[in-house]
Amino acid sequence: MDQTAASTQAAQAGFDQQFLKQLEYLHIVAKKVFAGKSRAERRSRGQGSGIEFADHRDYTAGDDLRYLDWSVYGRMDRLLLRLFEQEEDLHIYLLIDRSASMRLGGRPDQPLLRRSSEGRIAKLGYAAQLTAALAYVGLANLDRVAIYGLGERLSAELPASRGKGQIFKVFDFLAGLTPDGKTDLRTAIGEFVQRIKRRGIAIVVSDFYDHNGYEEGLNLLRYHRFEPAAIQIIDPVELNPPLRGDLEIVDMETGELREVTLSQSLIAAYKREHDAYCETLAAFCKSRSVSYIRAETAIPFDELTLRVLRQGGFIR
Amino acid sequence: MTPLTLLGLPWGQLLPIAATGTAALTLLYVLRQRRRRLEVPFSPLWQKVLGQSEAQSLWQKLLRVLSLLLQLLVLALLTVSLGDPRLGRSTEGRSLVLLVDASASMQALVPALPGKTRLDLTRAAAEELIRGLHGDDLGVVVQLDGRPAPLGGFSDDERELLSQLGQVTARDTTADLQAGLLLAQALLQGRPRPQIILFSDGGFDESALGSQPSGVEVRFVPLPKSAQLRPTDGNAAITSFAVRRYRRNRLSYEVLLQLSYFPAPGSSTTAKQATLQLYQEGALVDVQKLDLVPGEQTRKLYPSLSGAGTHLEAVLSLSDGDIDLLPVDNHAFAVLPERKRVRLLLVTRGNLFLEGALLAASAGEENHLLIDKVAPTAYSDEKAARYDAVLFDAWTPQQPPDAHAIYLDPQGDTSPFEIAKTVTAPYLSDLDEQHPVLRWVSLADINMSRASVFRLGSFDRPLAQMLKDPIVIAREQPGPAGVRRSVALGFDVRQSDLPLRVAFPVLLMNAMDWFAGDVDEDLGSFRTGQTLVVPLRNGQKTKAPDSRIAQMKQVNLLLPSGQLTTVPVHEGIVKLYGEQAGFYNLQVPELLRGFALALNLAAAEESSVLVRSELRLQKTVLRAPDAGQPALKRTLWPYLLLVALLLLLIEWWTYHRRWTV
Repeated sequence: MDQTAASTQAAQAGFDQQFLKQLEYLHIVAKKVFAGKSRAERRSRGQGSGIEFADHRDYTAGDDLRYLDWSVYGRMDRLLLRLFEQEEDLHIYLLIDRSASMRLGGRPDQPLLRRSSEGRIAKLGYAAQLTAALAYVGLANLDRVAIYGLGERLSAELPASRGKGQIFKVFDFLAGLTPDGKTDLRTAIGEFVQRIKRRGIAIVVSDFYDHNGYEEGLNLLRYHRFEPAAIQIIDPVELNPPLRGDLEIVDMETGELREVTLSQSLIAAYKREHDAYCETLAAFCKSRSVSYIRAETAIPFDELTLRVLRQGGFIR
Repeated sequence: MTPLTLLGLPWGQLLPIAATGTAALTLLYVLRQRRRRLEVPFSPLWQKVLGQSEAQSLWQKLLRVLSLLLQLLVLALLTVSLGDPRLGRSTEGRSLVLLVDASASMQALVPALPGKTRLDLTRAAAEELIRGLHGDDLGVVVQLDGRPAPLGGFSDDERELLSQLGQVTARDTTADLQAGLLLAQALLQGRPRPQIILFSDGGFDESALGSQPSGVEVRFVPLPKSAQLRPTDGNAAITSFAVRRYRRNRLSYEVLLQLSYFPAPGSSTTAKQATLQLYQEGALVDVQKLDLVPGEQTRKLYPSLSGAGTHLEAVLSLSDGDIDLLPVDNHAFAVLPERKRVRLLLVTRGNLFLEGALLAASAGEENHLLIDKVAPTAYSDEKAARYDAVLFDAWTPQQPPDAHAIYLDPQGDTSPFEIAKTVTAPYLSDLDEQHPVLRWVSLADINMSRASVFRLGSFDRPLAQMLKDPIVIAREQPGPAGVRRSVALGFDVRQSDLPLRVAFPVLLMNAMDWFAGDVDEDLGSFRTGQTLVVPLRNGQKTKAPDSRIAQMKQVNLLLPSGQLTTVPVHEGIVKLYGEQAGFYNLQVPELLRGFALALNLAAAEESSVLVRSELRLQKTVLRAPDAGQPALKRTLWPYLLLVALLLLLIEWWTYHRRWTV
C-alpha cells in the first residue's frame, strides 16, 4: 500500500498525522507482567539481556562471564551473576462487539466510521475508531495486537501482528465489520479463551447489552489469566429517545416487540434503570479488578483516547 | 312531574344514530392508531421499567375503557340533544290560552302612535307576557275572530309561542268571544291551573259578555293608555250595503247604503262632513256630500238600479282634519244579482184558481216567470227536463221529473211522497215559518175538506202539520243531477180556501224563489265572518248537464287580496268562509261563467271602535294576569352540549396527561 492510500485510509478512520504522533507517546498499561516471545519494550518475568538490574544468582559453569558481578566477588569473594529484566513484547487482544445493537446511532446510507452531519456515529463505528487507536498504541510499542469480533460467536479475527506498519490491516479489518446478530459474550469469549493460549490484555469494547449477562464472559477472561478490560460504548440517544407518545419498541438484536406509551416519567424511570445497569457493570468490574471505562459516542474519540483513557489509567 | 319529552328527532331516529355512532367509536377504539417504531438496543431494560408500570395495568386498562366510556357518553349526550329533550312540567305551572283579539276593530289606527294599529300594541303586550312566562307555564295562542282557532299546540317554548303570536292577523270580521272562550275552555280541559288571558280592545257586543266559562279563570289585558280614545277621535263607517229585488218586478233592484259616525265618548255632537262615492265596475257614477251626525244612522237609497252582475263599490271619506280610525269600514261592496227568468211547466187538467195565482205572481213590468201549461196526457219526462220547475196539479207522474217540482195533492203508488193516512177537515197547528217557502205566508186558518198525511222521508222537512201529522212538506234531495227541491201540499187547493187567500200566490212565488236559490231578502252583499253557501248554476248561455256540476270537486276562488285559491265543491254547492271584505270571484270554466260575491264588515260593534280598559263577564271584572316567575327553562340541549364539551375537555386533558392511553 503506498503512502497516499494509507494516509487516506487513516483519515477516513479519523486519524490525522498529529493524532498518530500523540498516540505514539502512549502505551497500554498492563497491571500484570506477561511473558513474551520477542524482545520488546516491556519488562518480563524472565531475566535476560535487558538493561535494568533485576537480581543476582550463583554462577554456574557455562554462564556468560560478562555478567559476573566483580565488585561483589571483591567484597564477598562469591561469584554471583548479575541478572537483568528482559524486555518482552505484550499481547493485546482487542475484542470488539459487532452485534446488531452496535448499529445504534448510525444511518444505513453512511459508512460506520464516519460521523453524520448531526454529529452522530454508530456505536460500532465509534468502537472501531477506539479499537484502531488502541491498536496503534500497541503496535507503536511493538506489542502484538490481535482483534476479534464478538457476536453470538467469535466471528472475525485479525491475527496478532507487530509494528506500526500493520495499522492499515487493522483499518481494513475494522472497516469490514458489520453489526449483526445477538450479543453472547459467554459463548464468544469462551471460544476466544479456548483458542488463544498466549495470555495478555483482553480489551472488550462493547455496549455489554447481553441478554444472557456479561458476567460470565468477563469472568472467563479472568479465569484464563487474561487481564480483561471493559470499555462500554453508549449512545446518548438511547438514554433519551427522540420520540414520545404511543410507540412500538423493537429490540435491535432479538426483534422483540412491545407497545409502550413513552412519557416523560417513563423515560426518567428508564434512565434510572440504565444508570443502575451501568453502575452494576462498573461495580462488577471494580470488584474483579477489571478496568472499566464508559465511553459515550458524543465524546470525540481522540479526546476519549488522549484524555479519558489516560485519566482512567487505561493508557499511559 | 310529567316525564321527559322529545320535541326534536324522535326515538325512532335517535336510536339508529346512537347505534351507528357507538359502533363507529368502538371500532375506532379497537383499531386505534398505528404506532411508530422505536429501535432500542436492549429491551430488557424497558421491560423492567414497563414491568413496574404494568403493576398498574389493570388500572390502565380501566382508564382506557374510561376513555371509551367518556366518548360514548359524549355521543349519548349529543344524540339526546338532537331529540331536543324537555323536562316535564311541575304542578306549579299554569296552562294558558292567550286569546288574541283579531277582529276588524283591532285594525283601528292609534293616533298617538302613527303607523301603529291596536293589533300591534296588543301583540307587543302579548309578547311581553310570553317573555315573562314562568318556566313551567304552558301556553297556546288562539286567534279570536269570527272563527276562533288555535295557532299551534301548547308549548313552553318562548320562540314557539312568539311564532304563534306572529301568525295573528287582523280579519275584517267581528270577534266571536263566546266561541273563543268555549274553544279555550275545551283546550284547557284537564290541564292544571287553567287560565285564559284575553288580549283585546274590549269592543264586544254586550250579549257576548253574558257568560263566563266554568272552571277556568279569565284575565284581561286591555290596550295600553296610549291607545285610549281621545275626544277628537271617531270613526265613519258604512254599516250596510244591501241590494234587494222588488217583489213585483224580480228583474229590478234597489240599493241601500247605511252610514254612521261613531264618536269617541265625550266628544261633541257636531255633524261630520263626509263624501260618499259610488263606483260601478270601477267607474265613478255618483258623488254625494253628506253630514254624518254622531250616533245617528244615515241612509242612502239608490232605486231602480239595473245591470246584472255589476260590481258596486261605495267609498266613504271624512273631510280633511277629521280622524277616521278604522279604514276597513269605509269601503263597502255589492254585486247586483243576475236576472233570472224561471220556466215553469204547469201540468193540470184546468185550474183557474191556480192559473190566477200564477198570473198574479208573475205580473209586473218585466215578467220573470214563463209559464207553459199542458194536460197530464201531454206530459212527458223529456218535456219536463226542459223546464226549471214543474207544477203538478192533482196529478202525479209515473216518476219524478228532472226538475224542481210542486205537487198539489199527489196521489197513487207512483207518488214520490208516501201517504200515511187521510184526514178529513184538518187544521194546521204547526207551521215552519222560518222556511223560505212559508215566508210572509200564513196557513194557520186554512180550511180543507180533506188532506193526505205524508210519511216523512230522510230529505223531507215538514212545513205545515196537524198535530205532528205533516200535510205540507218540502224536500231537498241530492242526486246525481244535483239537488232537486220539491214542495208537496197534501190537499187539493180546489177543496180548500187557500186559492182565495193572498198567501197562495206568495206561497207559489216563495217556492219558485227557493227553487232558484234566491231566499235572502238582502241580496248583493254578505257579512264577513259567515259561511256562505253558493250553488253552482248554469249560466244563460250554456246548459251544462247537472250531473257535470254535481261531479265538480273544486273550483278556483279569487280573493279580494288578489290571491287565487281553490275551494271544494260538494254536490254542486260551494261553501266558503269570508274573512276579508271585498269581491270574491268563483271561476267555473265548465259553466262558462263566474260567480261574484261581495262581502262587507257591516258590524256596528266593530265600527264603533270602542275601547274598554275594564271588561266584565257576568258582572265579574276581569283581572290583569299575574306576572310570571323566573324559573329553570326546561330546554335541556344547551346543558347537554355543555356537559359534552366538559367531558371532551376532560378526555383531552387526560389523554395528553397519558392517563387514558
